[in-house]
Amino acid sequence: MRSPVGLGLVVLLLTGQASADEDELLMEEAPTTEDLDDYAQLSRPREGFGRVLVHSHFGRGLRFNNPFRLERQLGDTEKSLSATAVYHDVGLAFAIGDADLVQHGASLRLSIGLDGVPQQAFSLSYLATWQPDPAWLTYGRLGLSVLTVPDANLGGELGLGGIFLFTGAFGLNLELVGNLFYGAASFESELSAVPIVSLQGGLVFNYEVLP
Amino acid sequence: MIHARHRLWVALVAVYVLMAPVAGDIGSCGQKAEELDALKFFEAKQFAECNRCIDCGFTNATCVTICQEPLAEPSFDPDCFPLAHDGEVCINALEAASCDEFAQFVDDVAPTIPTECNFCPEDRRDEVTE
Repeated sequence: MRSPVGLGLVVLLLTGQASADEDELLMEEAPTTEDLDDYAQLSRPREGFGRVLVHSHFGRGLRFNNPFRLERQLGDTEKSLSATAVYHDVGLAFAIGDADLVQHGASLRLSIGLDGVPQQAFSLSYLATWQPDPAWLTYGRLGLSVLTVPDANLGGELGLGGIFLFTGAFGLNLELVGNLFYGAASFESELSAVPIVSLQGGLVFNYEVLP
Repeated sequence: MIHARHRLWVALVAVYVLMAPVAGDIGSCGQKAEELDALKFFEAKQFAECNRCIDCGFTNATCVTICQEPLAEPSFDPDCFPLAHDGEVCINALEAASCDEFAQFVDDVAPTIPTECNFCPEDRRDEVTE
């Protein structure tokens, strides 16, 4: 013979199960138009996001070929590494797209040498930014760089950088830049390739336009 | 007429824009490999050096010689064939050197030579000869 306590427990368990099933049924009811609108609002890609970046950097580069023995030669021959002048780089960039994914835009820069023979470089590049974390912004850019005096020259430029945003608007920036220029001809070569790798860092102002 | 304060700003911006290099004086990619004319080069070099001596107020023996003595028959070493752009780079470097740097180039006792003007370093010539 079964005890009344045991029977009571079975009834309680069955009743509890039924109540949970009812809740599930309630949840599976067709959502209202309002609900659907809310879901659509929440789940749609956050397009229409944009940012404007203004930066001021200081940097210095290393030349991997120096056919004209430019200052500052770090080894014994013109084939040794040599350091470029310290330069100041100012830039303006924008990027638009999905806030959670990669944003695309353009970057315009002006670099000015701070010692030695006067020279400036203008660069226009395609820019891609990605913010994996609210405090970190990463970017890459690919474009062309134009050297001005003493002789005009056109080269390629690739940059990879990271920005630590210590506030929403201001950040510290570090960027590795690779350039390839072709200088004046020598007796050995019609085009003297001058690859340069530079490291630059500074402050960035980040203005975001939210969707 | 530009206001004096505006003139100062214009001057500051001009000085800033005319300040120095990034890749350096690598020349233009269309520039042909031409041999440097010794006479033209040494005349231009003497002129640039004398101007720097005057600008920096140097009156030492080397500067006096540069500015007063006529150029001796100029030539490069027999196994040295610099390019026209080598000459341009050298003159540009002399003109851009600070007075402290230039003082070392015209030192009476132990003058140095900027790497840009050292067209055929002796150790390189030895390598070529070997």
